[in-house]
Amino acid sequence: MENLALWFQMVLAGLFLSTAVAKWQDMTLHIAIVQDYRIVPKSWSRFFGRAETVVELALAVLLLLGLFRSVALLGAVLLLALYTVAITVNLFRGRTEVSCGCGGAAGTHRLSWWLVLRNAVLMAMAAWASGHVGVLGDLQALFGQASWGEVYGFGFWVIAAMGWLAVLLLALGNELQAIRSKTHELMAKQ
Amino acid sequence: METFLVLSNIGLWIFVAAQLVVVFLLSKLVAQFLNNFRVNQAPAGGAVQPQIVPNVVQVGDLAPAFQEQDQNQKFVRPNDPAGRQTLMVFVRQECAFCEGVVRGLPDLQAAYGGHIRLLVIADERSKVEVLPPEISFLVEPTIFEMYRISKTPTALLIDAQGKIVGVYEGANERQLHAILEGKLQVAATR
Repeated sequence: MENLALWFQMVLAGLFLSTAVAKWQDMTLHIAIVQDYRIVPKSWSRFFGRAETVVELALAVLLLLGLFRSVALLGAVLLLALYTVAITVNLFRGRTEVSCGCGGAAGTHRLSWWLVLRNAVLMAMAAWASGHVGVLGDLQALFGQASWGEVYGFGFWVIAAMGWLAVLLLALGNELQAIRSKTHELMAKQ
Repeated sequence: METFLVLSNIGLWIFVAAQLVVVFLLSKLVAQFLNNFRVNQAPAGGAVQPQIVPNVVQVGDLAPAFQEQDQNQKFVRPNDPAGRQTLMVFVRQECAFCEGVVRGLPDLQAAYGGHIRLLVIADERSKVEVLPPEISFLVEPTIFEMYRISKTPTALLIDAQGKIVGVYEGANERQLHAILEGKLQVAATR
């Protein structure tokens, strides 16, 4: 259970880190997408876009380092819930042409119920992991009684690498999907 | 023997991960390459077949959105909130022909400033810092990429709603005068 929780934690950390970096690299576009969601007032979109990216980055760092893991995982649930509400509201408005603004390994997609399902799975992963954190990969445990071997032993690196590999596979899947969609678009009209 | 098996297992996983990274980077390049093309829509009822053409900005497209601070620390967007049309002029450092266009911009501003907003996009500050403060300029190479500008000088005329109404590649200052004069005459007769 502890191993699975750590794997979920690393997957979420990798996802949040890649999306936060992608948003930060093109903040203008990200703010434009926040405005396009039509949830927060336009005058707040600049602040909201930046604040949400900073929170995402902070959560990714906490999850990667294994600091305040339960709190960070619950924070991840809340952040994902916020995104899911924004997507659902726009889906009910019929605005499926809006870009999700996910970025990074999460890819760039039009709004769909598939994104709601994906976020629900991620939220379930984070919520479950927050209740099953153990000593493995827990930096705070090092300040207590735990030894380096217990916290950052071989097992930790295997599980962490599997988590990051899963994120890489997800990113690869998104790129291949983008290539497939673009090829269809170009070939269908020829 | 056992150590050898563990090491070969780790080596194999590193090899798999490295291969995945290479495949991911390759698929990213392919997706970027495909995004350089789009299908040119055939006119309704025409005999011309749709064709795959380079993905450059065209008349009728919405100008890609951005919001950047100009040299006066004012936020500027592709369309003018004051309701005027915007002449967006792209100039590059290595383009000798662009110097004449930049020198001619104050005259354009004096002649048409009441009806047209001038916005200069440059890749280097030295080219445009001679401009008077009433002509906004942005030193943002990313906007060249965003608008897929391959030749300079290029001027785009953008209406108040952010729609591109004119694309002028290689136009010099006299041609820009003539273009703006023609556009304003047409607008006046409507």
